[in-house]
Amino acid sequence: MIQSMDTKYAYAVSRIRVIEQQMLSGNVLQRMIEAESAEEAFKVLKEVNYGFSANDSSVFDYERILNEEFDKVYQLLMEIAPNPEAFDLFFIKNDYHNLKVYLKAELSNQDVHNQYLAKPSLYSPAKIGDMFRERVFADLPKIMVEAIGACFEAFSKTADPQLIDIIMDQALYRHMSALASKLGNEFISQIVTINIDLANLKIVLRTKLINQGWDFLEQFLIPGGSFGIDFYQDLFEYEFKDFPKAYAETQYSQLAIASMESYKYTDSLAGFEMLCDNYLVNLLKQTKFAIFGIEPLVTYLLAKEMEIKNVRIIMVGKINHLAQDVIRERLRETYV
Amino acid sequence: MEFLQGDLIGTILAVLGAAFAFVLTGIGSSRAVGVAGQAGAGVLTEDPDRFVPVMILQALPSTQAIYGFVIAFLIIGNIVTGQPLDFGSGLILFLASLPVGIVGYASAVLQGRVSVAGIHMVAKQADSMIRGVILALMVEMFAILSLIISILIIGKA
Amino acid sequence: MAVLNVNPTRMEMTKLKKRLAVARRGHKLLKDKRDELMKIFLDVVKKNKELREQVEELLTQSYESFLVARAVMSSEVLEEALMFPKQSVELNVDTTNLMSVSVPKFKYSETSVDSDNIFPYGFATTSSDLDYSMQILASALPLMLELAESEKTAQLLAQEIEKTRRRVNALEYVLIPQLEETIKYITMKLEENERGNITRLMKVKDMMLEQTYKYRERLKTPQ
Repeated sequence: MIQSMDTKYAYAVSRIRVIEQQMLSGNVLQRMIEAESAEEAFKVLKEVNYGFSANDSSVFDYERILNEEFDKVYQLLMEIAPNPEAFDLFFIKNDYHNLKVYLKAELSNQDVHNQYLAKPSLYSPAKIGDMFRERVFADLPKIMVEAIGACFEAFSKTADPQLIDIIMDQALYRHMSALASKLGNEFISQIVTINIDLANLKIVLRTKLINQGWDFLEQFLIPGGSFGIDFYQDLFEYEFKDFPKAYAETQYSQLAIASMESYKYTDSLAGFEMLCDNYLVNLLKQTKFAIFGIEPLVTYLLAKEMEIKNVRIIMVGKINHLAQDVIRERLRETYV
Repeated sequence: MEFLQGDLIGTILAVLGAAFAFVLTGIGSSRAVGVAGQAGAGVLTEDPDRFVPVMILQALPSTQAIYGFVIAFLIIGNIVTGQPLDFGSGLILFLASLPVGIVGYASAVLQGRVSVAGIHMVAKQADSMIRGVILALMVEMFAILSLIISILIIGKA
Repeated sequence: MAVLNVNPTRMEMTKLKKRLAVARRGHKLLKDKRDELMKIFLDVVKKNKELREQVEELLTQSYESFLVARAVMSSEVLEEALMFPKQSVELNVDTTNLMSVSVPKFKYSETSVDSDNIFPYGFATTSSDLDYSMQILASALPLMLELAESEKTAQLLAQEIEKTRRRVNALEYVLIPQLEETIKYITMKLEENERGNITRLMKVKDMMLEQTYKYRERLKTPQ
């Protein structure tokens, strides 16, 4: 064919390149941080037309505005991507989130409130709600159905809500890996793998911090990353300060060193989580000059997600009168 | 397959060459302009004011097809009706089509990519059109060289 | 000072004197009780203040990390993470007697297998700041219960002190002076009666002597 695989994104990529210009730069974020009040910071968001209804909302609606902004990204991608289903794997986490909400509501006799549910998702929450009422999950993908079954079974044995999250998180990453390998795109597979690796590292660190044993950790770990279970078993025996050694030969060596430094000084994993996000942003930056392919679109989606996170950090900080430095420390690197 | 040994062999080779020169460059340019056009449409959807620089960048890879056309025209010009070419000149004319055909095709496709990149530059900064054009013209140079070589070879026929 | 409306009789006075003695003794006892309550109250308040500072410090820390967790997680994820708590706390309220004041005594038990793993959410999608916040909140809970206990105790003690002080004051400034006054009044009344009696008796005696010896006639007749 005259159109090869990658050039079918020519239109979408060009459009993204223009739209990318409107992403909030570090300067804009700085302006928000330095704003006198939360209202002033919110005004900046109005200026850049965040969300759909920023103009007639108050500061405390920022969460809605952020959701709307993400919805905008979703709609744009669905409109311009030649194969919108390629992005399923980035939105499926919201489906798993909604499943968790319905499972927990079901098992603790609560009502599902709208503000618990995440959008955009592949399966509408209302449909999932119907499925839960009828206990028929046939329309969902196999991985989801199995995970739901496993949750019910595990809960009936232990009555531990944590297991719901554990099972669902593992299913989510398995599902993402499966979708990524179906796509066969190296960049997307890489992102999924990195997500799994970093999630596992986070789980190991937190398990150590709350003094739990290997048995506890083992059920948490997400399969499918670049390291096997043996790696984590060894890692678990290490002191925090020796973690960089375990990661020395991997792509995460710098990240591990910086994270442990930050933990040493702050006694908190907040720095580590920020570095993880920055690591991803830096990966995204590699696609800055790509002219074809799905990568720039994926990058835009994830960069936008990160931007919304940054805006949320600033808005929460501003509303609660956190010091500017505290907000600045927490801010993730920006893509633009 | 008798005609291959007959008088017409030289003419057939020459016509093949003309077709080869234009078909390859034509496909190359169409592909390149097509992709650049898609990319241009993406930019114009968001910002219709950038039409002129986008259009110029899109048009750049079409020159290869023109070169192919010129060579094809020259080759056909060497064929006189009723006077079959001998095998030697036919072969030379055919070979003359190779540089512009192959290099033209490759450079068109690659120039198309540079054009897309240039359009992305325009997407970021409206005034960066000239730089984009210059970058794309670097690829153009090889098409021009192949055109010259092809013309020189035709001259030897 | 008002005098009680009583008959100024000796019997009444004896009764009043008895009441006065009882009042005096009660006053002394109540005063002792007040002082003792005061001492306990001050101790409780001091402990209370320490606890309150501790709890406030912990809560501040907890809210700070919660805020950070809130900032880096979307609200849906946060809601979901916390919508189904893993452990519950059972609280039993008893009362104990402290200086005849019945103060509450809390007994609580947590329904959790492992006090280290109190987290009802998975670790892959949540922030570690949330763990920290939860841990501090968990460690603040016993202190908060203790604080509630000691604040209620302090409140009840304060009421009791107030009541006792009112009683002491009532005895000291109203009842005892009143009784004393009345006793004095009766004493005076009785003494006055006594004096009246004596005068009357002397008069009667005079009259009787006059009748017998006729002093006046004798004075009139010349010798």
